[in-house]
Amino acid sequence: MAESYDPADVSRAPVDFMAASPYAHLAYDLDLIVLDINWRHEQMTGVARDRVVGRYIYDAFPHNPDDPNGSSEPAVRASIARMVASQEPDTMEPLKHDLLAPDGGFQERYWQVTHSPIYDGANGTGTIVGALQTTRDITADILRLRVTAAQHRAAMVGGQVVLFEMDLETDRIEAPSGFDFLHGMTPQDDRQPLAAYYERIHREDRKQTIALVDRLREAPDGTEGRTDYRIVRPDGTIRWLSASMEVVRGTEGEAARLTGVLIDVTDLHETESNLREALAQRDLLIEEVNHRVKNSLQLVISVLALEAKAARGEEARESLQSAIARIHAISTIHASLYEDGDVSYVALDRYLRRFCRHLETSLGADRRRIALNVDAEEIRLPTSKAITLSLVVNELVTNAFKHAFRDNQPGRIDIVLRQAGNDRVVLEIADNGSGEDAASSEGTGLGTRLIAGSVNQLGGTIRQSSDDGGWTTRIEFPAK
Amino acid sequence: MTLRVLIAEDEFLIALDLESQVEDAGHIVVGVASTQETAIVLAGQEQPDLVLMDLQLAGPSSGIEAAKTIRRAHGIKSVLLSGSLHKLTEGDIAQIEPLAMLSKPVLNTQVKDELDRAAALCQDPAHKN
Repeated sequence: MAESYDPADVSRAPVDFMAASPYAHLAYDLDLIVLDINWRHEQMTGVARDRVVGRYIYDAFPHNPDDPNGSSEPAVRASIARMVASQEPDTMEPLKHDLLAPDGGFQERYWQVTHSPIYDGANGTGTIVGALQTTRDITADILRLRVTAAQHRAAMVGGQVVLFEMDLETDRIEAPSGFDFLHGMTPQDDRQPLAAYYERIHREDRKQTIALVDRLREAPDGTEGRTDYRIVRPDGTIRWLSASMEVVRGTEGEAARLTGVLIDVTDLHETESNLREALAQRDLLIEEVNHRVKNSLQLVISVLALEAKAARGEEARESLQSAIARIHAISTIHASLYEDGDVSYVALDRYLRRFCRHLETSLGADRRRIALNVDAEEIRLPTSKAITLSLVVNELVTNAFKHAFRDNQPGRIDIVLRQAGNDRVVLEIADNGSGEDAASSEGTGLGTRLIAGSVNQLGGTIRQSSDDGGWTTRIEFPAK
Repeated sequence: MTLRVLIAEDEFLIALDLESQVEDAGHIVVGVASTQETAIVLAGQEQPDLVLMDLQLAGPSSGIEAAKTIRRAHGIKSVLLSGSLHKLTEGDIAQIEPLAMLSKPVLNTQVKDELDRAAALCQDPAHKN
């Protein structure tokens, strides 16, 4: 059975606090002669106890003669003097004291040093005869801070970027002078109150900026916010600033600080607005051209229509009518352009329905009791292809009307548009008449050449077949 | 029934064509206006059944404004013709209450369809204006 531990038993060997401490400790008298060091101190400095005890501390740890800051001795003596005067521990500002390395060179080191009084009596009685130096190596922290500071400086080149902090209790701003500069103020050592910066913000942006800060004020730790706002400089010029902020709270979750970065983004905003203006200008021009194209097409149609009306012979009138019909086919594409904001593609299914409604009326489908049916899948074609195809549809449907149905017998014409595989489109125009080959009926006519040429331009193939139920024309072509 | 139609179109060849289309459909053209002002004056004088209104009239004048005024002052509705119908705002359309909006180039069959439809409406006195 284990021996039980009796806390009242003072006969036990006392705990060696100095050896157990995670800190480096060194005791010296008021003349800075070392009385003792602990194990951590040996470990931290690499200098053994027997080379230190009994020596003047700056003999044991000489200062770096090349250090531009000089010896740390005056600061150390001042700290000890303060400690003696106050009879309280004194913590020094971070202290630079380089360590002599075995190779004779010096290593850059930074220390956090606290001096606490050593009395000649027990438990803080008697006179102060020395100081216990508690030391922490903060070299890594200082170097990191230095890197951060260098990053700050790099970011602030040209005064374009400023890091800032604000105490959310007092609304005190801590920031380099660039913060004032960016807000169009003369940089001062003390930051202005928050309201003074708000004053500088453009009237239209002020409310949202204040609202964001106030929202962050109430927000939990880590909440971020970003806002762009305009600053009116005293000379009236406007600058755009972009502020990104984050809330950093203390242990109780209270609004401790708002930390952020402020960037002058005027150039970005100007470039953006120039681009937007150029785009608007371009859209306006395109629209103007589009309007003119449509109007000109209208003019062409009107002139031909007037011409047809004035034409003497039946043949001349018919020629002009078919010219008008062909231009109508092209025009219908143009009329449907820009309707859905896409100029380079045409929704072919929608076009076919619209165009066939027109053909029904212009060819007198009702009167002749011929039904025109469109069965089209949703297919978009490049505009130039759609225009070419529109001419083919016009020719084939018109021919079917003219030739497929003998003696005014009723009938139907089916127009089918569908996808064939990934990149191919099939257009089929079929009639149920008993007439002759619709396409070849005009033999050497313009219509035949127009169909052949258009199919060729589409990079497609055409096949015509007939059975008892009429003629079918099948055109297949690549969609792209 | 026979409609009395006012044409507002600043391109005279297009106006001429529209005129013949209206007449071919069996209706009467009571006047051709090329500006906003003339359109409004003629509409007042002639009290047509409808106006074929191009949205971009000559000079600084606007078919949109003409159509609004004619609708408001004389209670006469328009069939709008334009290459840029998308420029019309919802507010414009609410004020104009167009009989139809036809995108240029307008097919002759479209004009005839709209005239037929308007004629059918006019026949029914309950729908007048």
